[in-house]
Amino acid sequence: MSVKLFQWLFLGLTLVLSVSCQNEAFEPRSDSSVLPEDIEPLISTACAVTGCHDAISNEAAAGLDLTDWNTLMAGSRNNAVVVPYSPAQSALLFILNRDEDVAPVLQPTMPIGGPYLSEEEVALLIDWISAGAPNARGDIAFEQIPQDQKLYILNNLCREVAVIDLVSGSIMRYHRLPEAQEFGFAADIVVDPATGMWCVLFANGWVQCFDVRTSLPAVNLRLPEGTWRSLERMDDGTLMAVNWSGNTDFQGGQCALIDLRARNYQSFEFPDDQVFFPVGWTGSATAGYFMSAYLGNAVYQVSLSKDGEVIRMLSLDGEPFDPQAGRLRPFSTILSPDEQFLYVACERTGEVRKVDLATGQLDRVITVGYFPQEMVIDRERHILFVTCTEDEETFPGRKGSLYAIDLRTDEVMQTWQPGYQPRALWMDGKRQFLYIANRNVDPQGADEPHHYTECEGKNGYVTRIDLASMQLDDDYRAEVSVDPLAMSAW
Amino acid sequence: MNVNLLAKPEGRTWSFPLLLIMCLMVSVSCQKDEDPVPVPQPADPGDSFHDHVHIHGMVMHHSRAIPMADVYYKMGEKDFPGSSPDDYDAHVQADSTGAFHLDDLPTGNYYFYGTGWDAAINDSVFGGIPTHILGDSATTHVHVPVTE
Repeated sequence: MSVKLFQWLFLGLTLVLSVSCQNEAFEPRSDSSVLPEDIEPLISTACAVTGCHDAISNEAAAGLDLTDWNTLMAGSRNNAVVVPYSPAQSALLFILNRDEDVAPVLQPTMPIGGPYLSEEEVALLIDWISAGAPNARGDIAFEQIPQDQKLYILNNLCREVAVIDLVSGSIMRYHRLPEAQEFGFAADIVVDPATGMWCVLFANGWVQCFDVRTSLPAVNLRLPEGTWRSLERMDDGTLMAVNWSGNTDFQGGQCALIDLRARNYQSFEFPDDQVFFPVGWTGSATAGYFMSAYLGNAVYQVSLSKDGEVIRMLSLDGEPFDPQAGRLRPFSTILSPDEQFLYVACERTGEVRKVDLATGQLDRVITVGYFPQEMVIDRERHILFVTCTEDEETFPGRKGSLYAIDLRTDEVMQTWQPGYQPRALWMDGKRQFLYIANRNVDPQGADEPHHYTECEGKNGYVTRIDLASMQLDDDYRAEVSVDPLAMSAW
Repeated sequence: MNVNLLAKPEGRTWSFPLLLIMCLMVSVSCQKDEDPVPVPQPADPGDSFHDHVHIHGMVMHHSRAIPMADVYYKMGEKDFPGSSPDDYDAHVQADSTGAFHLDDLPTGNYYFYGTGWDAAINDSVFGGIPTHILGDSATTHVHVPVTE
């Protein structure tokens, strides 16, 4: 071998060796998992270190792997730690921050023992989350989620709406609601596929709707004054809002049939010798429409074609009709799948009462936990689920229960303790999960919040039942803002 | 114009400097990607290093102590060894305040893993942390963070 050839071979070998031995940090990476270059050093040195939030050890660190952008966005066992555009809902920031004037502070400040992030580094983190927490390519998480894959959760006491991606189960966004005092508290939320809007009913009679794609305000309606409590989607695409108490002109309450396309409404008022504190609404064009009233001992069948005239009263206890009886406190109502029966949750007695719509008679009384609130039906399995928000007997030491009633026998078939003060329900039939929003608001016994929000109070959380196994999904718990009162999806 | 970079300049040889540069390139590029190891210093001036230390530890869920938590530890370990007690060298139970104590623990790397029950959230909690015990003071404080 000539000397020249040897020299070339040696040079080539050296180059190959030097390139192949280069440290990984010098390799250009352009995949979606890469954090922006100003954020990556903060996370990699403070969090994703050996034994902590790395790929090997994260199971013992809240299940939070901060190796890269994808794992960061997947969140911890408590769900999202960074919510795009919402630093005020991003727990990762709280646990790295030490200045309460900048953002909430969550103990222990990480990394335990330091060195901690500087003020400038925390500010950088806030700016990054406020800009959507993009990866190095500029991608923002959950940007392309289909509209029918979003679950909207109304946080009453924080005037915020949390959005969960139903595929990953992650909290993907938060939306602030108007702070205007005249709106009153946020009472209910409904997603309306017909118009592509999600709408929030405020107690003082405002209905504000947002485009599901952009979440920008789309419709703003002003209903009459009152204490509006519930908003239901009707089968013809309209919405029905129910006013708990009427204004000074009529004490019996009222309903408003809202046409979002026309951006107007038609209201029906009820005399107080007939209806007192209307609260629940259900029905269909074929079965008719039914309204419960909080103090009465009957359910009212209301004719929409006759300007909301009450055309029938269905007794819930076989006693003479009394609009102010107050014995049962009927709350929510739901039609059976065959539309032959009406189930009514009675708060005060801890019962679900079943009314035969053909005869107008009480058919059955099913005992559940105290304070039954919301109901939903799994049509495939013929199961009625009921949340009993203040029930302290079924699971002593805890407040709240979830009951499953077999609709073929009307017997209670199973109970769960899904969380503290469960109330709102949403059935995701496509993915076979029943979502439960746990309010967690009782100051005397609610679960401690783990992370904080801008507003006072304990965070609530969302849990779910796996409908295939009928087991509480122990691996799922999404902590949301204060008082998750209502839920809705496409 | 053809330029032969390896051609010998008149009266000189390229072999030795070329070999030197090549060796330098290989050795620099193959360096391990590790942070420089700081030289440990005793915590208190005048203090000396200890071969064995006393551990004062706390098992905490955020700012709430977890009473009677089980604490497992393993020497020479930086990564989470696993959630089975068999994955660890030894076990100690925290007291009613969530504190635990270990005497005469040799210095070195340890992984501490705690499990317990947080009555405030009615849920089991667990978690761990790697700790390097330097021996720069007679007592070392260890915070074992746990979560549900």
